[in-house]
Formats: sequence, structure tokens, C-alpha cells
Amino acid sequence: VSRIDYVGLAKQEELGTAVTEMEYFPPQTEFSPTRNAELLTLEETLGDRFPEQKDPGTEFFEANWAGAVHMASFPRVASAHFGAPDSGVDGDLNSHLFDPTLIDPNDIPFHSLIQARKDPTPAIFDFLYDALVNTLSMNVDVNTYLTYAAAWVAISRDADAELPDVIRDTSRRLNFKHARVYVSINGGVEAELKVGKWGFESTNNLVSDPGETGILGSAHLDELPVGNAGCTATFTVRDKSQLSDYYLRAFQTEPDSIALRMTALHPVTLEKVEFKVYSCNEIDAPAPGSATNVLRGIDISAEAHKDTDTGKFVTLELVNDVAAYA
Amino acid sequence: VTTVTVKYTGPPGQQVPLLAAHGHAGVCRPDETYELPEDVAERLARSSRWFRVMPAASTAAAAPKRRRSRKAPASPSAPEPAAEDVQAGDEEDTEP
Repeated sequence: VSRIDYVGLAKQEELGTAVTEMEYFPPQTEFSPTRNAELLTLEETLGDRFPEQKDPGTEFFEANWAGAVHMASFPRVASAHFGAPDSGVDGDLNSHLFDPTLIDPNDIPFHSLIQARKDPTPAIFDFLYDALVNTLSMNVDVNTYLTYAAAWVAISRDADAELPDVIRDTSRRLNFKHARVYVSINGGVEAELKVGKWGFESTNNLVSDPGETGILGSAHLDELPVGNAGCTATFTVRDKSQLSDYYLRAFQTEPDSIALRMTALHPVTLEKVEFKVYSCNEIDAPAPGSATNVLRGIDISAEAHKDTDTGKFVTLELVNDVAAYA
Repeated sequence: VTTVTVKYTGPPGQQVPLLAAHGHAGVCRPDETYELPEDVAERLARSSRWFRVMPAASTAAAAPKRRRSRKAPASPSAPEPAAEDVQAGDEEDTEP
């Protein structure tokens, strides 16, 4: 990927109807479209030892995007994972709340994607449609921007599409100076926790295995069912007085319920990203000893589950100056 | 060169290199309009949902609908245009 490359995306109204007019062109640090095609393999006795041609079987497409969260375009990506957000006014800005517990998985909108490599002439590009984001992750570390990675799965590719002209998304990026984590243990008072980084990875477990959804007479999947939801939150505890507590939580037989609010808030514009985990349990908190490294943090991994009190799982809220993502 | 008016209906914070090449540098503002050569306007409208070619006053009633979508082909080897793909004015989408 060089700076001249770009990706674009647009929401589709329905499965099977690609949209050639893009909505957003979210800047990426890298992207990698791939074709996932099975090959029909049948070994036969041929009288010699040389391989025969193999015919392609069912195909679908994958695309991995990675980039900084740009406040205008990122919600469009997130809507292909969590479903459409609930949008409303928040002061002079607009709030977009993604809550997967309120979304029928069948209503998560399919998207059309363009991925252009402009260095060669003519450009190389892939136009994929009927695409959803299978896993969506977000991370912020010291001295980094708030970044995301989206693993797309697409049913179809249009070889006859035209390459659209790019529209640069120059909306704001948030960075580590804007980021905070707030924690509540077992329903207690929420308090800020000193952390070195925060992140999450959410999955829809899309069913793209042709063995489960393929049909005779077609080389393509005709649906992309959304599977079980899952989410892992990660954060690096830096507060020396709490390292021992967080280390020991990974060994509890009656694990503490941890509620997390991981935020990035711009102090001037008030643009915001907030990821809430309503309840999670630590699953990993390694604290290795080392003769050369000082232990100044523990990387916590925690598995989210649906909170029985609120009925919520996770929510992602973005506050920006875009009215809606309908 | 025939020029037409193009209206930007998208979100703030978007910048269009194609517009910059025609003297409109900077970030697009919602509801801003631009006078552009017809072929450039067509390219923009084909590329982005946020640009609409404004109909000339005398032909407003017969103005083409700019939104375009492509139906999935029945099979990859035999693309078949769907009826709703053929809209008034779609022939203007052909590259000059």
C-alpha cells in the first residue's frame, strides 16, 4: 500500500444489490483482499505421477483493513459489524450508539467495497459486495493513534465495475493522549485505572464455510449468516498498587465481574469514542519474571459476557459531526 | 465546454482531489455547489453518493435519477442487468 492507494465503501439496501457510488473512503495503513476458493481435489490413478488440473469450487472473498479511526468514516465500517447505530443529537455534535443486543443479526447491512492499488497503470482494484465485517478490533497504545482492524467477508466480486474517484476523509483521528479507561469491579464505584493501552476484538462468527451454507448448482455462497457474538477486551494495567490485584483475578474460582469503559475524547471538539463492556472476567494476566525487564505493567485479557443486570453485552458510541449512518 | 452544477450532500470533513483539480480545493461543506464540466460532474456522481448533478431549470421535470445500483448477476459468467438498473439518463454514464 502506498499513499495513492485507497479503499471505499457504501451501505447496500439489500443482499445481492451492489452499490457503485461510494459513501466513505476511510484511509488505511494496509489492506489485503483475497479470494477464498476451494479446489476440487480428487486423486485418481493415471498411469503416471504428474498432477491433473483442479477445478475451482465455491468461492468467497476476504479483505483485511487496518487504519486509524477517522471520526466520520469509521462508523460506516462499524455498522457492517454491529448493525446500524442509534443516532441522536449530543450538544453541537451527534452521537451514534452501536448496541448489538438491540439489533436483529439479519438486519446488519451488507456493504460494497472498492480496494484500489493505484501504483500500476492501469490500477489494480477489487470491487466486492455483499460484505460484512466478521471481526472488528480497536486499539490504542502509548504514542499511537486510535486504530482499528476490520476483517471483511464478501460473497461476491464484480469484475466489470468501474473505479470510482477517491474522496479523502480528512476527519479527525484520536490518539493516546485522548484515551482513558474506567473500571467498576462487581458493581462498585467506577474509577479511572491507569493503563498503558486499551483494545477490544469483537467477532460475529460469520458462517462462511461452504460446507455449511453452500448449495448445489452455485459456485457462490447465497447467504452469510451471523453466528454467535464474542468479545475480548484487553488493557495494560500500569497502576503499581493494583498490579497484584489484577494478576490474582485471573486465578479466582469465583471471578470478579469487571465493567469497563474505554474512551477516547478530544478535549476541544468533544468528538468521542467510547467502548463499554458491561461485564467481563479476566482470562489471562501474565506477569513473567525477567532479569532484564522491570515489571511495570500487566497485559490483561478479559472475556465479555452479557450482563444479567442490564441485559447488555458491549456498546460502542461515537460522537462526531455527521448526522446519521442510515 | 458545457458546465453543470453539482451539489455536495455528504458529511463534513471530506476532500475531493477531482474537485481540487478544477479549482475547488479544500474540504467540501454540506449543500455546497460547484460548477464543473459535465464529464467531471458525471465522474463525481458515479463515484460518490454525496454528489448530485443539479438538473437544469428547463429540464428539471425530466431530470435523471443519479442513484445507481448494480444487481447481482445470476451467475458470474452470465451477467444479466436487472430492470431497475435501466433508469432514465443512465446512458449518460458512459465514459466520453
